[in-house]
Amino acid sequence: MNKLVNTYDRPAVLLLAIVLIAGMGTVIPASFASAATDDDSGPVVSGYLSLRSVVRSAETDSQEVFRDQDLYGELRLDVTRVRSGRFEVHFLGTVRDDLDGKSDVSTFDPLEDIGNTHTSDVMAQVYEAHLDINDLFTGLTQVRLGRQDSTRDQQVFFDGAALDLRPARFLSFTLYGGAPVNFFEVDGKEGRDTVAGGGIDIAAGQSTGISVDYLAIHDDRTYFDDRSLTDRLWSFKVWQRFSRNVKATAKLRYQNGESRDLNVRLLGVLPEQGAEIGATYIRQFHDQTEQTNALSPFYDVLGTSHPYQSIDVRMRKLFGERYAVDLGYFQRELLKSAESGTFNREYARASAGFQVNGFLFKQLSLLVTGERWDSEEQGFSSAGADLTYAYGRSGKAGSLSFGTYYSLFKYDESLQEERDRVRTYYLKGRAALATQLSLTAAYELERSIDRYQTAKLGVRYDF
Amino acid sequence: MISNTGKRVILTVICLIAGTVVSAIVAGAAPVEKVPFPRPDTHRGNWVENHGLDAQTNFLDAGPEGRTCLVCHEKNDCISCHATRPPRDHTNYWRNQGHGMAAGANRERCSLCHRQDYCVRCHNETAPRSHTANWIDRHCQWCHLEGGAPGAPCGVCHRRSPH
Repeated sequence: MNKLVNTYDRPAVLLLAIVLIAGMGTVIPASFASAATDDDSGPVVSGYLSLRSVVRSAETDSQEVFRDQDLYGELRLDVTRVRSGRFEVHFLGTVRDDLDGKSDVSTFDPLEDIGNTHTSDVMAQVYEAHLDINDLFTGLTQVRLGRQDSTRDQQVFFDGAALDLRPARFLSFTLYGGAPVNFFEVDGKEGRDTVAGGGIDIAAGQSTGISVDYLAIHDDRTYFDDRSLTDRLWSFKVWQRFSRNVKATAKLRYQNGESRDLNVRLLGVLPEQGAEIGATYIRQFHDQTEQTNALSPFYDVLGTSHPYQSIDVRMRKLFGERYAVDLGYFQRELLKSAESGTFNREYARASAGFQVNGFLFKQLSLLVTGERWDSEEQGFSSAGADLTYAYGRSGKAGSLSFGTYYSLFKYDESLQEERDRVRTYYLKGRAALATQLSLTAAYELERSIDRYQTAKLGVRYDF
Repeated sequence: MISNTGKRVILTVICLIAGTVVSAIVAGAAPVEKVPFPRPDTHRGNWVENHGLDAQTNFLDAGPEGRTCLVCHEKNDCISCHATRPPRDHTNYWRNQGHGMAAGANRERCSLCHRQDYCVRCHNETAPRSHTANWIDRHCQWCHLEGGAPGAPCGVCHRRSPH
């Protein structure tokens, strides 16, 4: 196996930093909460800290037993209304520790996952850590500094700065730039990657809007061929509100001087009928091959993405306060059907969901879901049911859920038929220990080619 | 056997939990009501799996006019969920084998949460089910005669033929 050298060790310092901030997070809210109550101009701290222990086992068809124990932590922190709204701080970070430290990646281990691909047992990710400065000058509505996610056309995590400008009521700009963050890059060296982008929104009255976006990404690829890639993406969007409840958006994107894709969405809401209908049409015009990490259609593992079009129609209908129905249909076609292959498929998918609130008695709800999709040589079917008992006001005191999920994978029916069935059963509960502190516990049994058992125990503090 | 790092983390976590419990109790009884009204009707049914179109139409693609989601949600609610809460079909079987079929069918769906580096990293640093026992001796027939496992061609991990 052409195993690549992994030098991507997140130092334990990151973990400690998160833990330290988490510690602050548990203390600060108590003092700030009262300030926010007494004086609306005071800072408001919200978010959560959760810690979860996960124990897993797997028994293969050859009776071999594997075990794994991990610890997960998450911290979300949003500090707003600092100095009457001038400043905001947002943070989202996760940490995971492989407690048993066993990760032999040279042979198959059914419990191995992305968390075992580091030479260190500890993996920490910081998704957001930015300071926002609001209304610094007239027309400069917000400056964001630090690690952030672009909220424009294409999601890109980066370390840098972003500016939101609004020189007129109908006009707003966003400019951003910095170093993109690739959380799982093989060698962990992002090199001299850069990202720069900007967008403009023009509101033509109350019913129409136009947005234009530009994004340039430079990606130093040091792990395969030392080749660097640069992508330049233009995006043109129009949205139109036909009535108060009917809205459409159309987006056309050009990449490196060639049309990339078209995305048209229509959403209609009929509140009096308790119904909602939506449709999405996507068309990819040309072959998409090797690209920068944030824009790539997974070319490095799936190969070329051939041109296709898809239509996705969804409908939901509420029947009074107790019943809700979801129906969906999706169809994907290749523009040249001869290009069909393992990772370029034509298929149709149908899905349905049905929920009953107050099933048998008031606090009990039932959700039943099902889906089926078929392509020429493959197919997938699933069915699931979840029964949840929630107690306390609005179910906030706690809940207990029991559910099952069944899925059937069918491969290569005409050549090498294989049918894999997966049955999952779970029991999970949440109980409020104090007003902001909750305990969660779950057990899950999965039977497929192997037999998996998972137990989770966690605490979550919302502030 | 717990590693030293594990022991250190466990100790830290125990302290944190204790601190959390104490501070939660000390913080008092007032519950944090982030949104002072019930969740909207649209959030009923199988909303978790179906919210994408509403979110993309009312928030991401709509420019400054359509910020409906932000009435109740923070901007980073999206990342918070998409980065840490896998959907229900992401079972153990899915992780080890089933995901390839889905990726071949709809890469758009994968890209809602994942980027290419996620795939590359796992495929380069974990071994598939077939790579057990005397795999080195068995792989000739598997690769060259049978074309690899269903839905899992060799090229997914091996960019270049080693011989």
